[in-house]
Amino acid sequence: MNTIQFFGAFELGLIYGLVALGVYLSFRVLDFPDLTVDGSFPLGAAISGILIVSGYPPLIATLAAVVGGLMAGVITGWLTLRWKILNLLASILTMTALYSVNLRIMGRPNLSLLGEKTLFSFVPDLCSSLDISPTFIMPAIICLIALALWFILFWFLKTSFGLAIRATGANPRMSMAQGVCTKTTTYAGIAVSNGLVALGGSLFAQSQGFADVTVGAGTIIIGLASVIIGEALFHTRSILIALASCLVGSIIFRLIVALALNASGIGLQASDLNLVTSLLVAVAMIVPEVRKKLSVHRAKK
Amino acid sequence: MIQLKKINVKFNTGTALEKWALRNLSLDIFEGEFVTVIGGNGAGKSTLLATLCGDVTPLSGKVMIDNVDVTTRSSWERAKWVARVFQDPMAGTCAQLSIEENLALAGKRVSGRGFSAAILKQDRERFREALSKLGLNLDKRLKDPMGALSGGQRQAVSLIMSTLQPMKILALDEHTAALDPKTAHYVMDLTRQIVEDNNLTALMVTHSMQQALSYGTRTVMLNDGRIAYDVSGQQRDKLTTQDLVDLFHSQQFSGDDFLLT
Ligand SMILES: Nc1ncnc2c1ncn2[C@@H]1O[C@H](COP(=O)(O)OP(=O)(O)O)[C@@H](O)[C@H]1O
Ligand SMILES: [Mg+2]
Repeated sequence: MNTIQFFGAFELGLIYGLVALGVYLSFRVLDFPDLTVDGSFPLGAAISGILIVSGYPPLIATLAAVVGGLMAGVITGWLTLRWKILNLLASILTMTALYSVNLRIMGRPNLSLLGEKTLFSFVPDLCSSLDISPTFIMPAIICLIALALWFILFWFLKTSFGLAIRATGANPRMSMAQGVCTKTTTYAGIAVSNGLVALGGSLFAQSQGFADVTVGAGTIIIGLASVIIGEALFHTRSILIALASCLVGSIIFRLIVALALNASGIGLQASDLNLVTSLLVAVAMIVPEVRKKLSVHRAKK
Repeated sequence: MIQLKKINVKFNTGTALEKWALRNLSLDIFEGEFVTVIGGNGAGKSTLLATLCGDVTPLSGKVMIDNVDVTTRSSWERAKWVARVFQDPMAGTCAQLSIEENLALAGKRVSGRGFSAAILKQDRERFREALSKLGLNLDKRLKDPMGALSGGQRQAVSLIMSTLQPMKILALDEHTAALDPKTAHYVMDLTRQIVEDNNLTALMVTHSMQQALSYGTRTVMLNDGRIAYDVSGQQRDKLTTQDLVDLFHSQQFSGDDFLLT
């Protein structure tokens, strides 16, 4: 792996770090297995892509992507909370529908943003004036964005409302007994989660220079893998560190993938990514189970 | 005043398991009363509490709190008036959250939640002070996870949690049943102290006749979804557990068993 590949992986890791934060919020905080993200990531890319191509300011395009993500989350929430559809299934419904919606939004399977004015259009100028390679600048900018969101999410979860969201995931019955409307907190949590993921999709499209309906496939597994890697590295009860571990986990995940794909001799291709990711998640989930079995076994002896 | 008016609750309607859990039950609880509820297994005690707390919506009848009809309000809305302690120590608290976060959650039961920090410095002071009353040294463990506490400690903290905000009634459903006898005794005494210190109105379900008579100001005996006996004042003071046992037999109470303790 060379420097460019390293920093490329780092940058991608941070962008998908937002996905990991979203997945952490739904899977871990709310205990709501939400697969909507496979649709809301490309939704973010599609919305900001089409708005940018149509000449809207990139900031508006990015905010619109976030709003789109929030709405996707609300729809999944509505299917579950209002119509009592199993949360996993509700999210699959939204995700599946979003595939068509994304195609409609873009009007075609993919959009090129090369040469368009994006959030990152100022980077080349900045680089030439500072005389630094964009290889370093892009990851640095994305890093700032990720750190900002890390802190905002931390602040959010530390507010009274955020605490109610955390309690809803941990013990809904107790939360209601303490006056928490668990429907509201679930809606909010799932919406924010998908808003983050859509923001990731928007930044992905703008930094990579394209939006494509197929970029969503496997987003949830990538996000989960990042969360799991982060958890394996930092056993913590601190939310600040838990959220940071999502970002770190995502970066490490990208580095592992880059290493695997670049290592000559293994013969992996980019298209093997989903297989490798799924194996990683499966192994990460099997290991604790095996450990438990082993310790029970030992205790019996 | 808390009023249950002609409450009818039926479970599993239209199936072989159809069951009237409460039958035309009416109960008025006056301010400052501490009502203990006893009855055999399946008599409807938990259903009575669930109806008050909003977990169960009655088929017919009304639930009034200070003349407000709350019959159709959901449990989280009723939390404004009703504070609860559950039977299972796990159920009433959040194991993953810290002690202070549990308290902070309960500290907004009535006032509602916004986007300010969940725990401020003055909150911590207040929590410390409230916990120090327990004498369990928990005031020094605000940041420990709730899950690290024993069942008895969790029930004690649950009681403290309930008192952080005003209430019209405290609902306790066999909240000492999951504890060993010594801890149960401690939690019962704590309950009495908290109810007296805060002048609370309380409704407490218990499986123990002895508890039902030695705590509270009024005792209600349920049988098959109806109030079979309702006693308070001097008449209750004279009552012994043996009287209750005799009453139980004379009325040919239904129910699987009755703990005669
Ligand atoms: N959620 C429920 N679904 C079906 N039946 C129930 C439910 N809750 C209680 N019951 C039935 O209603 C009756 C009263 O139950 P409950 O109020 O829990 O009794 P207690 O607390 O006095 O032991 C019992 O016959 C019980 O089986
Ligand atoms: Mg019961």
